[in-house]
This record gives sequence, structure tokens and C-alpha cells, in this order.
Amino acid sequence: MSNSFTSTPTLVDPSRLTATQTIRTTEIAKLADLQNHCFAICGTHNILSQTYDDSCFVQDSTSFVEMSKWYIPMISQSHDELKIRVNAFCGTAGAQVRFTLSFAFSANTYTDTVTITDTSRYGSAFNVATISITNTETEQFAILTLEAKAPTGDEVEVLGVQASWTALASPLSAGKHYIGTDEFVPVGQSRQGADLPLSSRFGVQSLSNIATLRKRGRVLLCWSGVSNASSTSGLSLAANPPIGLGYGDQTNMSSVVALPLGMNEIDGLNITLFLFAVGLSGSNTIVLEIFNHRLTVSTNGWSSFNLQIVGSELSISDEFGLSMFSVGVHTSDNNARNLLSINKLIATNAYISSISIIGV
Amino acid sequence: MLIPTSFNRLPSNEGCHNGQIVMGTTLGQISNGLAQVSNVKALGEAHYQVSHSLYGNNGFGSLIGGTNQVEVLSTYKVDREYNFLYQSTHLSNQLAVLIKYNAYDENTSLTPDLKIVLRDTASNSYSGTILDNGVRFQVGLHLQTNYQDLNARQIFTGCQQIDAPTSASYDFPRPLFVPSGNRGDLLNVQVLTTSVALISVHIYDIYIPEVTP
Repeated sequence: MSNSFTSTPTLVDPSRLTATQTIRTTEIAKLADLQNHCFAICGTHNILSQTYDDSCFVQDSTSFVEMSKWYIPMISQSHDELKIRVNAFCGTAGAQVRFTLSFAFSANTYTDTVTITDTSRYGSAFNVATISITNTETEQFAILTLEAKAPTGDEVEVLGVQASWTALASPLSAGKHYIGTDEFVPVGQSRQGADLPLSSRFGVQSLSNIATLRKRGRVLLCWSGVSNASSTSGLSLAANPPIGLGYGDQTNMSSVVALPLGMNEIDGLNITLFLFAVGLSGSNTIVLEIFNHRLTVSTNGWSSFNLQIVGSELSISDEFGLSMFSVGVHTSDNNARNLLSINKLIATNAYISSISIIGV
Repeated sequence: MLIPTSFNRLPSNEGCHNGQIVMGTTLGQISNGLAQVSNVKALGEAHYQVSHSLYGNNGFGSLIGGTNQVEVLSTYKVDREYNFLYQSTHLSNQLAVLIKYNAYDENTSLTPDLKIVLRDTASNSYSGTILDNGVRFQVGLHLQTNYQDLNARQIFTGCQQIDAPTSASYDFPRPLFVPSGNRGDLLNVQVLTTSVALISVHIYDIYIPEVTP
């Protein structure tokens, strides 16, 4: 009955699954193991990765100030522990960084605060925040915000942030699991043993489980500008980070990622783009071209868009053996006009302060 | 078995209903669908954007926002260390690394250089045990300098399968090797630069197209 699995995926010999072959319990047990493995492990790598060079992400306030926010995928309702590692330092003890995970629809929030221990740049060790989700959250995405505060008379500097969901251990708990509202039913190993019937349910649930697992979010690009940076030093020395997407991000703000061909033809498989807009008023809009889609943002705060694979693979696909695409902000006349630049100052123009692109 | 890279259509549920003959094709498609999820979709990856101070001749002040180009500012023209944390997977046998950068060798006596080392993160330390002594990108061989043109350049370790490296020093560019005992651990991809400004660092598990079941 146990929904157990092995950590390294157990694949099935395809020659055993052809016509005229007897269906052995060995293959069925491996398929069961693999489904449980995929649900527990898949997507537990980095969901947030961002680095800041020197004197960029700086805060001298002695009370918490919100500085960055990202949209991240919830890989399932059962993955309820988020580990966030922060590279930061402060010359004086007492600097803290607070992370809050919030859900747009349930309005629930979960928080953890870490005290920064390093006193110099990459001095000794990073600090880890752990957010545990205690309610049932049915959303596929969540918002992670970062606040920082410094001890009196000093300032804290953040060099990087990384986050990942904690993988589930074997066996999976009994009963249905969910990715968003899509069901995943773990497979009981003892039901797949010798002399037991191969049930119709095994086949139907396996197909349903694969369809559910395909929808699990993968972060393709996740970036937040740094708001409210503050330092006692002048702007030439500190606290002068990028706040919004700018002209130069046409060439820089993108990732080379693998995307599975065939996803356009299957319902429910999308690339989801989240943008956070600041400074829009009246009928103003921001029109941007991202991953071959022209998108119009008309409201402040978060906006989301569903994207599909449009455009050609990169030549580097040959190296990876996968279909690789450049996903992010395009170089185009439209973007050159609409992104922040010396001709489009942040003080008087709306801008995008966060971008997350989550694929499948 | 060959691992499919794309999402193929799954067979109809009806092929699994009571009273139907169980077809080898149906089980084969279930097997392939799962192999795609476990060995392609579940491959680890990390996409680090590296933000820089916008002050300088080729940046913009914070009242303007955004960045025009990334110039190697004077503070980067010395040896620099960066640590990129990577939550590996059980399939992280080897890691490919792709870096966008700017290198600058004018008006400085320093030669641009970039090294990548793989470390563990025991006790959350940046200086954990070295798992792979790593690789080196050198100017003239791999790194391009760009004095006039400040657009991003790109370097890549490639994805060629390698045996566990034995060299005690930096190799020419190749993927980083993760010892079997560290696969699934949080790893530290340490990048050491001289006169190089990092723009983004992308880390990937390498896809293996054929796996023996």
C-alpha cells in the first residue's frame, strides 16, 4: 500500500512494453515508483535566483523596508516548506532580512525572519529562512517579498537570494495530492505485486498523473528590481541599484531555457508571465515585447499573461540536446521606446519593477 | 531507453478501461511520458541575473532607473568572488554553466579571467569542500574583451559528458562534475573573476538522451 519511491528515477525497459510481451509486475512497479518520485522531487531545484553586485542592495533603515518581490510557482499543495538562502552581511550585529510568502486569492501570508551573521562580503556563511505553509493553498503561484533592516548606525547589504521547495520523502502520504487544483494520486506499490490484477484504475490514474505533473511550474526567469535602497554614502558609492526594467535589459534580461515542444498543442500547458507595474495613471499603459509577444500592462501592481512558444530554437539546442529558447525581454524598437532610459526617466514614467516567467 | 524531450500526446483513458485489451503501446506511452517528466522536465536549472550599481559613465542614476550597458566598473577590476547556490537534483551528474559577461582590458594592467569551482555547502559555508576544481576561461582563448562595444558576451562550458576529473587545477572549459554523494545537495557554484562584470549566470543539469533502465 505504501506510496514509496526511490530517489533516482527508475525507468522501464521499453522492449518489455511492446506487443506480444507479458506485462510483468517489474515494469508496473517501476512505473508506480517513477510517478511517486516525479511528484516528490520534480521542481525542487532553484525557483528563485538573483545576485547583486557590490553596494547595490543596501539598506540603512532600522525598521523593515520592502525592497524586492517575486512571483514563484507552488509546485504542489503537499510541498509546504520553502527554504530561502540569503547572502548578506553587515558590520554590526542585528541586521535582519524578512521574507513573506503571500497568496493573492486566499490572502494568507507566511513569514520568516533571519538574522544576518556575516560581517563582510561572502565572509563565512549564508543564512537560511524557512517558510512553512500551514493552510491548504490551492493556488499555483505565490508572491515572495523581501524586507531588510539594519542595526542603528550601520547598513545591511544583500548579495544574493536563492530559494527552493523541500522535496518530499518516501513514502508519499496516502490520499490525493494537488498541483493547484489538479489531482495527483500516488501509486501504492503493494497493489502492483505479482498475482494481483492490473487494474483499469492504474492506467487511468497514471495518465491523469502525467497530465498533472506536466503542469508543474518551472522558473525560466525571475527578477526583481530593488526598491527603497538607502545608504549614508552618496549615490556614486552605494544604494544605486536597478529599480525597474531599463533600456539595456533588452539584451541582458533573458534566460536560455529548454521548452518542451508539443506544449502548445496540449490544453492547460502555458508559460505564465507576471509583471509588476509602478507609476501608471489614468489611461497610461506600458507596452512591452517579451518572448515574441507584445503585451500591454494597464494597471499598477501585478499583471499576468499566458504565453506560448513562438519563434525559433537557438542554435545552442544542439549542445543541450533540447529545444532551447531565449526567454525574456526582446531587443526591439518598441522596447527601446518604452523601457526606462535617459529619455524615459523613472521619476516621470511608469515602469516594470518585477518580472517572473514560469514555464512547464 | 531513449528519453523523449517533448510532451507527446497521451493515449486515451478509454484504452485503459475495463474490458479493453491492454496494448503495449499504451504502457509504452505511459512509460515515455513519465520518463520525459523525470529525466527532462525535472532537470535542475538556475537563472541568476546579476544586478549592478547603475552609477557610472555607462550606467544611469537611480532617479532614471534601468541599465543601459554593464561596464566593468573600477571596483570590479580586481579579483572578485561570487557564490551562486544551486539546489541540485538526483540527475545532477554534471552541470553546464552559461555566463553572460563583459570583460575589459583597456586602461588596466589586469588581464580578464574567469574561473568556476564547485563546492559543497556544509554548514552553509561559502568555502565548503571543493567537489570539482573547475574550469578557467581565459582572454584570447574564451573571453572576448569589449572596450568600445559594451554589449553582453557569452561563454559556455558545453554539455559534453565527461568522466570524473582528476586534475588538481583548472581545466579548459567543460561541465562541472558532481560526485554521486552530492547529487541532490545544495551546491555552491563559485565564480572567480578578474576584470569581468557578470551579467547573468545560468546553471543546468545536463540532459542524457539515452539511459539504461
